[in-house]
Amino acid sequence: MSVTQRNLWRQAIRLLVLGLCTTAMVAPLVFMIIGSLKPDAAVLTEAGTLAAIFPNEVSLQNYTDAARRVPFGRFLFNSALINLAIVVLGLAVNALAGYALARLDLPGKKIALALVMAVLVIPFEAIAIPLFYQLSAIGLRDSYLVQIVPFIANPLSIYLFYSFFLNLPRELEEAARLDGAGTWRTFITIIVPNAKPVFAAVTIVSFLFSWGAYLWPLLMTTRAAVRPLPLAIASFYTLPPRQWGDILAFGVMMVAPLLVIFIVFQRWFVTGVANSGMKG
Amino acid sequence: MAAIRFDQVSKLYPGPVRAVDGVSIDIRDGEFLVLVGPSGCGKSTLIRMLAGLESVSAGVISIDDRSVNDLPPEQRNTAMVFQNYALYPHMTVRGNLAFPLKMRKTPPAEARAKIDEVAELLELSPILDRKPAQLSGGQRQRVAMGRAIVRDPAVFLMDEPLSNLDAKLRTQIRADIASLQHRLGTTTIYVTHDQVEAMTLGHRICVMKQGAVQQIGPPGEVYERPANAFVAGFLGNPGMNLIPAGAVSAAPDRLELDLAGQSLAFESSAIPSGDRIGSNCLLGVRPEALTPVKPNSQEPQLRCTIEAVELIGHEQLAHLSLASSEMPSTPLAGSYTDKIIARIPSTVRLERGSAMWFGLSPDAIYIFENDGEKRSIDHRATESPPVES
Repeated sequence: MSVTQRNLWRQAIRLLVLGLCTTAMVAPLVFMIIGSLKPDAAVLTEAGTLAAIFPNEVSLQNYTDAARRVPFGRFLFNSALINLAIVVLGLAVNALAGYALARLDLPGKKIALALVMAVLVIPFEAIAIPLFYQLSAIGLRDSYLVQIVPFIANPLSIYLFYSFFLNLPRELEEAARLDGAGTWRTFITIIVPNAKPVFAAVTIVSFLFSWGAYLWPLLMTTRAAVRPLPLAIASFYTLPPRQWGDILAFGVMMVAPLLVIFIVFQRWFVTGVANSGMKG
Repeated sequence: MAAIRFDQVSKLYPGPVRAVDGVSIDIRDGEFLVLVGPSGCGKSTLIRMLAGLESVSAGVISIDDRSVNDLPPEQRNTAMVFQNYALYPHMTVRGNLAFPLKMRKTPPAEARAKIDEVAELLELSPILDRKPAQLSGGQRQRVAMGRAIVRDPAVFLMDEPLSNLDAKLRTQIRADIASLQHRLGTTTIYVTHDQVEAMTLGHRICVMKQGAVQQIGPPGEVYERPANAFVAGFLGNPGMNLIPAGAVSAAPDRLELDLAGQSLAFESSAIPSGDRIGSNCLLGVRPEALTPVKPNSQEPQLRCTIEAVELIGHEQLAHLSLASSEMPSTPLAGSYTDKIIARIPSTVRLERGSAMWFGLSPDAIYIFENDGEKRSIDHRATESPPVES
């Protein structure tokens, strides 16, 4: 086999593997979007046929039905408020923590960093029950606060910021100090504007995690007034009749803000993750 | 402008590593001092301590007789040009120049006038609205200089500011820096490992090695009268040849050396007595002081073999070895070598592998003591008599 032929085979195998992976990732999303536009009865019956991708008839009926059955606007507001608070406060807190760990000369810095890394590998489910008892004891159940505060400080976000700041040229800060800026001014005017990629990456990552949060709101809330979207979608399974078209339509409405966020920040996200030493 | 004093200043890092070791230097108001030395000799650490970017482990650093040891960087009124320029990437050139003025709450009209003045001085006016990524290396360097001078600091600190530029640009900007410093008259400390920059820029140069000052003085003086073998070998391109030699006899007016079996006799009133030299020493001779001669037993000559020849335009560098490979044993035998370099006009025909004789005038030689640390012969201090056979 010649070198050219071998390269062609390699290229073909690479394309095949990439194609299969892409299909596996995109297929559920495509199925959800197309299914949401089909009559409810056709969603499952046509699942294994070509009509699953190329429907015979499309309508927005499922969307109006879904919005009628649960107060979508209220749940969207709750989710948006909770996520906005987690992302905005998280950016401030985690960026400062990452900067302090990367740059400031603090006693016990190495231990603090080791703790952050250790927390990174503990699954949330492992601490959910003790956290439930603690926060219930101080009367925070059924509130926005209980869905926001525990998720502001995030070890993954701290680590992403830490890695990025570690690689930022130290001379930038030193030049700013000599130019007359103190630590805060240097952070706000020099560091933050040059850390857009990592801010974008952390925004997307924390938005992804918190937008889909299910277990914690389920444990801590009982009132629809404070519950987020993932709990609303769950109610479709418990409210008869089970309408798959409605569920898929609600799923699309729930995922749409995530897609918008990702598309807006995607350019910086890739740079941010790469610069944070977590390539891929 | 300001006078600066380093008084027994040391810097220790955990390890412990002594990066700077009891350095004392007085820098006059308006002086241009060049700190020169090999990588890791502590020169950058010294100016970083002056800027307040590193703490001082021991000693006192004063600016205008006021200790600045405990002052934060922003209160020392020093400006630094970094090796990688450290321009703020998200700001335009104008933004970079304006930043130090903004930090000092300079009124906007005054700041604008100052920026325009500096931009004109450094020919930055056409690029004021560009960002650093859109600038060439030379332009970035000029912006870094502009940011340093825009707020009239008491001291300029320059940490190898030309090392990222190509050779042609380096020569041009080197001249610009010298003329700018002359015009502004601001006290300047310039760090480099490039001895050409050191020789051409400073009023005085300070040669450092392993955290300690080896010699301070005007460039010509340090070049002509190196305090020790390190300074002699470091300054000059190529540096001074340092050849381990055995002192056969040393009287006040006569020195006889054995270089790998070749006997060389020098007669001069500046020759130190034998007990100062010891039985072994280092013979120093600049590459340009080795002049090809015809064999003649009447005057001190070195017989060498040409190992390689490098043509560098109007001159050529001849890499030589002593005819015999036997070298006397000295504690510095590992540090120095019998390889000798001679700078010879390119009109002289050199043939690789052939033997050649080089004349050595007592005026052109340096004798360093066995440990290489002290210069034993000071022929520049006295007028040497003509060589007698």
